[in-house]
Amino acid sequence: MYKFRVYNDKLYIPGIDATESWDFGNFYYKKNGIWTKKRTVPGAVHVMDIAEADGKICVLGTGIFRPGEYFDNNLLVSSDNGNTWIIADHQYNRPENSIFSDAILPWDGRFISRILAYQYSATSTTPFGPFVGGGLAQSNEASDYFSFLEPRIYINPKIIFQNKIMGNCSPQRTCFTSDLQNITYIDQFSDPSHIDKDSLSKVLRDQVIVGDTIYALTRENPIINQTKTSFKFYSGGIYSSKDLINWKKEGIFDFPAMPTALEYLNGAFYVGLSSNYDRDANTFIDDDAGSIYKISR
Amino acid sequence: MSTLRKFKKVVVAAGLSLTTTVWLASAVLMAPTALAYSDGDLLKDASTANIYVVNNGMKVWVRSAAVFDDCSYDWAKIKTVSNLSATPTADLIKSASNPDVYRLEKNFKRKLASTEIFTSYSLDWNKVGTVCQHVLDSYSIAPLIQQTSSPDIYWVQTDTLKHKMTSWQSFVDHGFNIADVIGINAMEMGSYSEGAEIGVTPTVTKSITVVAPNGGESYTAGNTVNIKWQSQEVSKVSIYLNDAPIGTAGGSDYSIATNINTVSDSYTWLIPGDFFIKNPEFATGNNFRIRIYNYTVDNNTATKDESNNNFSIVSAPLPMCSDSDNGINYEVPGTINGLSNSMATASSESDDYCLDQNTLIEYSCLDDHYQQKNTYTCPYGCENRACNKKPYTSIKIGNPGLVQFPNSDSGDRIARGVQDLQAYQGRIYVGDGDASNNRGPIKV
Repeated sequence: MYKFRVYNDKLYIPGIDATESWDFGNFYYKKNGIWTKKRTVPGAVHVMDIAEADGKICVLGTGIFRPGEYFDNNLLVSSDNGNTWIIADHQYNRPENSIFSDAILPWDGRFISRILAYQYSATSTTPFGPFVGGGLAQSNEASDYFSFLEPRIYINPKIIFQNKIMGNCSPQRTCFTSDLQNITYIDQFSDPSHIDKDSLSKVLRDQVIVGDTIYALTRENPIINQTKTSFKFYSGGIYSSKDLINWKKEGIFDFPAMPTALEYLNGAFYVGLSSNYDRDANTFIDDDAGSIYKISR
Repeated sequence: MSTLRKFKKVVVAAGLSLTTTVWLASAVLMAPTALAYSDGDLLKDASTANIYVVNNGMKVWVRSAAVFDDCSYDWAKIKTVSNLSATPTADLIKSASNPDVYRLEKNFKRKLASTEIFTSYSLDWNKVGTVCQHVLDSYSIAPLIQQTSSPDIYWVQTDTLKHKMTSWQSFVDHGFNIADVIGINAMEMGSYSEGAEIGVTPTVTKSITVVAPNGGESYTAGNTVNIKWQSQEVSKVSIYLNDAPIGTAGGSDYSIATNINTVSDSYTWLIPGDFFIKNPEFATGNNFRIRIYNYTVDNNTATKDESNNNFSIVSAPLPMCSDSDNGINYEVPGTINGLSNSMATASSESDDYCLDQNTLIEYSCLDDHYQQKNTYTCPYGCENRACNKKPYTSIKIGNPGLVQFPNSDSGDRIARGVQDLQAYQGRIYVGDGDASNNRGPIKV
């Protein structure tokens, strides 16, 4: 599993890879101390994300490419707690093939996601034709079906902070929009994958909102082409902002593996570590992957 | 925060005792011994509460709070001394910008028109005090002069023009005070040009009647009072605010306006917003009356009137203090907006700042209106106008996936790794496993 969401006092987990069959995707939630599994998402091998808003649940399901079938990229909306679904957006709903961001966010009683559209390929072996456009899309309050917001902006949403959608804009560019029309790059030098203007080597990995402040976890000075036996040095930064524009460095911390996840509880940060991968050796390289570090004053 | 001590500041102006409260550093209390003072020292006589400015080893009386402010003297630099009588009082003064030397007698000034006149009195050039122009201006020209051994008394209109009083009756008619007559020598008397003689004033019925405010009205400092009167055979008036009890003389007089033409028989007075701060001898409340005098060379004429009953003036509300970091908050750089001291009439801003690498000057509000300066030693240093927070420490608290995936790259490609963390109902949930594959438990 790779993602948690909390909505309406429920802890959701999208089922990233159903093992039973490819006919239905799964999602899970915990409420009042009880875990519930729902194996109801049609045609979803992978349920990539889940959101809840105004009594409805929206999932992003992806499946294997099967021309002529709905076993592909879908945004699905349920009004009965995930028992039944309507396909709110699918490549066959529009003349283009579509792929989605890996995130769905609730927005003003609706759902927001990014859709990239490619010209539909008629062949059975090539799922995507040329890229033809895309942008942010939102569900329609009345019909649940998604439609592009105009003018179109290209932001892959990750989190909503102070009514602003923060995410990536074009390849690895960190940015936000507050009006769903205009993009503001967080990095003043427009270097996208970095949130600190003083350095070009701060890669945003995760973020958490605490009160009126958003905290970002970065991987500092990443080293490429590491191997299991090479010198490995991982450094993570925690930065804070109250407006997504001005960022303050809270601290830089050394870790024995790659920092990938950030959370905050009772005055302390928690950082989770993962591993780099040696592609040549096809091997995991960081023995301390999986470790959790607590960072507090 | 520096130690502050509350003092009463008393300024005596034109025979009026003005009392106010200022904040002074405790270090300015002086021992009761005669001391040598420097030019510009501001001294308060502990016994009379008069305030003096020192020049050339001599003291010169600063006659009012307004003069003090006009000279841009600093209230916080006043030193209270108990033996000021040991310091000589200057009776010869001049301003820095003008060579004219004035002699002070009976709290009046008169210009000594030549070095010969100066020398004729055997005066010492080394005992001339140089004072702020406003201090010099605060002294009135000596109105009456008389040559020694001569019965003639002259009214002095300007520094260079005198008028002979033709008789004692003319002296009385003009309301002059014999105590104000200053004797001078023949050389000085001769330095004045002589204007028309002043004779007996024809008998006329002069009267002034205050119409408004005449008692019972209520005003707030910062607002206007429409003063009205009726007059007969009076061309100009002076208007004062007074707080003497009804039917009694004395009290404190506040000069509202002088030399006011009576054609309009009214005058609009804007009560200063800081009236009770600058004039602390007056108490807020239903204590006030308007006194209007016939304006001549001396306001103390017999023709006058005052409000029949008291009216009320109350203080304008003080501006509220605000602090951007909500009080004493050492770790947040704040800006305060409040009155800088008890004499301030308008709010001003002050930023928290680092006095040095470890010391923070932190501002907070005092009594809802005033700025309070606090000094704090930051345990982790001071930067960017605030104390540094306690540094973070990082400790490993576990590896919940280690048991299930001791050899992480067996099976799936990267089975062990924290993909997400989530706080939920007081616990941290760990999403463990390979982002690209399906292996991975939920850990709590």
